[in-house]
Amino acid sequence: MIILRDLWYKYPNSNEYVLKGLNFRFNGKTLVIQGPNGSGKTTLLKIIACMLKPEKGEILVDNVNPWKLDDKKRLSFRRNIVYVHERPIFLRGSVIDNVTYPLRIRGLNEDKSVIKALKFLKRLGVEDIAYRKVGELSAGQLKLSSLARALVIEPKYLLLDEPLAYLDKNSIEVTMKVLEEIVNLGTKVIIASHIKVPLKTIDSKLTLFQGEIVEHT
Amino acid sequence: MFYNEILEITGRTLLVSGAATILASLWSIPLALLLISSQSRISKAIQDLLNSLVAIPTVVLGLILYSIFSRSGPLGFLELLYTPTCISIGQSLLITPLITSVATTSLMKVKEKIWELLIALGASNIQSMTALLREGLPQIIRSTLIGFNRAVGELGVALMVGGNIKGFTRVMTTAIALEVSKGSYELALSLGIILLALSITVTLIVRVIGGRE
Repeated sequence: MIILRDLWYKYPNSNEYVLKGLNFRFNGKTLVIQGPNGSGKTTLLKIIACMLKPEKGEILVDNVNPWKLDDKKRLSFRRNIVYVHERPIFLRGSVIDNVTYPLRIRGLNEDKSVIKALKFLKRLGVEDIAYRKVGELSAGQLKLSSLARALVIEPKYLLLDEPLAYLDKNSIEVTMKVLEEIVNLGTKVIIASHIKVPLKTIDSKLTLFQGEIVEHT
Repeated sequence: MFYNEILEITGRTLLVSGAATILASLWSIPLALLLISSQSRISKAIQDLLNSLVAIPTVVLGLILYSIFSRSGPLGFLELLYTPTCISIGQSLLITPLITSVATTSLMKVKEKIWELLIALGASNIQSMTALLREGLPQIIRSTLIGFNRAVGELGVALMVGGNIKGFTRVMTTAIALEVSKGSYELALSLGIILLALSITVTLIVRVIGGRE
């Protein structure tokens, strides 16, 4: 469950608030955050992911305010929440190096990490690029690889920023199918998108405009 | 005889400046990592100080080091003055601001690019710094090579704390200065060409690494 209470946020060195007094409760399996560019969707996702600290107000994830935890506990807490960037960012090396990275930093050994990474790359239909350098890939392949990198963690909350960007029709279908599978397995998916998301079941929708919630269904 | 002397001086120059670069890297790279991991005012003040020290005149540093390592100086008991070790120490201090400054700037760019990803994937601070080091390796090598280029080409420190002793502390720059003052242009010119070739080679390597970034 995610609860926002009078949540405000502005970026350092800026006087303008990006999020203005958000109040919101989400207790479903899938949430879509809509709104035009600059409405605060990405910022909200990053706040839910504990990557940004709210300026005012509070966020509770499963009744825990992550910013009241010490660094060690917050690290352990935020490892259950994974944010996937709109524009995929990669470390140097191959796709498999990148997809196994979150597993390796969680202490899984190399062999098990590779097996798991290959499994998720296969589910997304991109296992053939596993050993290619990230610099050689198309935007769509990078997007799917970054999704695989988040999925291998099997997080409690998966936060996707514009997941349909750079994907063709076929890749969108595969992605939605995989997302529905992981939702059925218990992962809660929160998607920020300025276009319609073709997920079969969407529990909740939130529309942002200029940092404020204008609609919540 | 002529070629032997050129080889000997070139070899010593590479050794002395190479040692200085390794020595300077030992503290400059960790310092750069420390500076980028902290956004405090102190950290920014240190960065400004280092940036201003990049252009420190080599003779001024040479003079300071001379007074420190001379017999009556605080470190005179080490008896390092007029030794290759003293030149290496001096050059390492000379290039410290340069290596730190270049490494800080370029590693900061790497950090801006990947830090958020590392946090998003659940990396701890230590894991993030390790990843940053790995990602920034070309930038680190590049800053080190820039430092080496500066060390190889400097004259003031090598002359003042090295003394330009034939067969012992004579390096390319001090040898060139001496040979020109003697009117012996052949050796000076040969060493000058080698120094220039070395400098261009290092610059080209730096550019290649820069291009790959």
